[in-house]
Amino acid sequence: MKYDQPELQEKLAGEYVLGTLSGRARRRFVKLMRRDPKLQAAVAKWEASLLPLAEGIKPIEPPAHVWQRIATRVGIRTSARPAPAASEKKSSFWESINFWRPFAISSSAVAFGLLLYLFMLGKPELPVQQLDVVAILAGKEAKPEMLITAEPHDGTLTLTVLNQQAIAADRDFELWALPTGGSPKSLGIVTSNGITRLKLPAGGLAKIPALAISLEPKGGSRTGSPTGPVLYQGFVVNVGV
Amino acid sequence: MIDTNQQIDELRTLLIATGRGNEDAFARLYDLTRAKLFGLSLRILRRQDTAEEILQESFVAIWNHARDYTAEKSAPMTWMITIVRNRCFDQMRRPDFASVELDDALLETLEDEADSPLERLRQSDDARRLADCMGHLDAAQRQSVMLAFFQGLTHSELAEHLREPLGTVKTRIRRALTSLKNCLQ
Repeated sequence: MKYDQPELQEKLAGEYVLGTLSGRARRRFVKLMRRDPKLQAAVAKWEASLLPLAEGIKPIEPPAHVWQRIATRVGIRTSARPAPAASEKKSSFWESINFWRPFAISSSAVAFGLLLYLFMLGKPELPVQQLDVVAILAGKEAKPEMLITAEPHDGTLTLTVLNQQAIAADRDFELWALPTGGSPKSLGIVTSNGITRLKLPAGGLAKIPALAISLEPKGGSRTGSPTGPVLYQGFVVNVGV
Repeated sequence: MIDTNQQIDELRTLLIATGRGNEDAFARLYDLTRAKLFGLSLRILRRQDTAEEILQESFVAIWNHARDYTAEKSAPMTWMITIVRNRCFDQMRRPDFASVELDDALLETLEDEADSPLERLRQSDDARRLADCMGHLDAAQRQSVMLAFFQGLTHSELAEHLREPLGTVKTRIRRALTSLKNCLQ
């Protein structure tokens, strides 16, 4: 068979994604695909077309030991564990996500939640490559808008805008560290679209449980504290830096 | 009604954070997708023990390969579904794989689902479009596509299941895929 014919590639890619290729044909196809970008592209297209079918599957709760085994296999802390299935019985597949809703709870609950959260994180004893701090900043609608990572080895903090944000020409976004028991400290002006690299503050983020972005006049707040509305905020996870 | 784009954003962010070794993000990702993905592997494999194993292996793979995930190339759920389905198919194509009887409750849940995936496909724009296009296939084509997709039947298994010649089944699948492709374009 001539595998370089476009029609044949297209047909095989569709059958591969649908799942009708027999064991041998499937293995042969996978081998070919590994070294053929055109075949990979055809498969990706079919996957995007056909896999939404799987959205129609009724969710079935797996037993709890599956997560235990996964956690053991990949060697992660037991504190990073999903909520027990029982507590989700009433909420739908997606609704259980309270993780993103720092805005929805009152300030004292936030403080308590933060304490609890930090307590649960415990003393991180993570391998070096896991020391990236990741914070995800969400807006009022609890939608994640910014991803923040830290590279401690070169002392940088990277902010990636997940969804381009609208901002007036005479305004800037300013990123703030919210230390426990202290006033916000500016980390710098950040972009509303794309990526900003900043210097990791001295002392890292170990004592900074949360980050926030406020809307400020062009060039940043002149008072040294946030003056405009806080638009996005999120907790710092993996307080290892 | 929950905004599906928001769900996709959440999953995407969690997947990116997982790729950076963030355990909490990984746990949350598991939390949000385990039931969907377990439902999928159970449906394809029809074996509780193997479906659990596949879910476990899939999440180990997700943890190990999340850094290779590129948001531009695929939607987060598509990426994870691919991992689960491919593992299911590899498992089923092994010579020593045998499906066993599921317990009654599980079987009932699955049987109850037999015709409904298309009904439930109202979640995302992509899914809605696909459901419409599936509606344009003739009944035999639709049945073959569903059997292949959800039970992982190969061409020859389909032929056996439907008691039809292999050639007929192959042609039907090919026509169904062509029709879906044209409809989805």
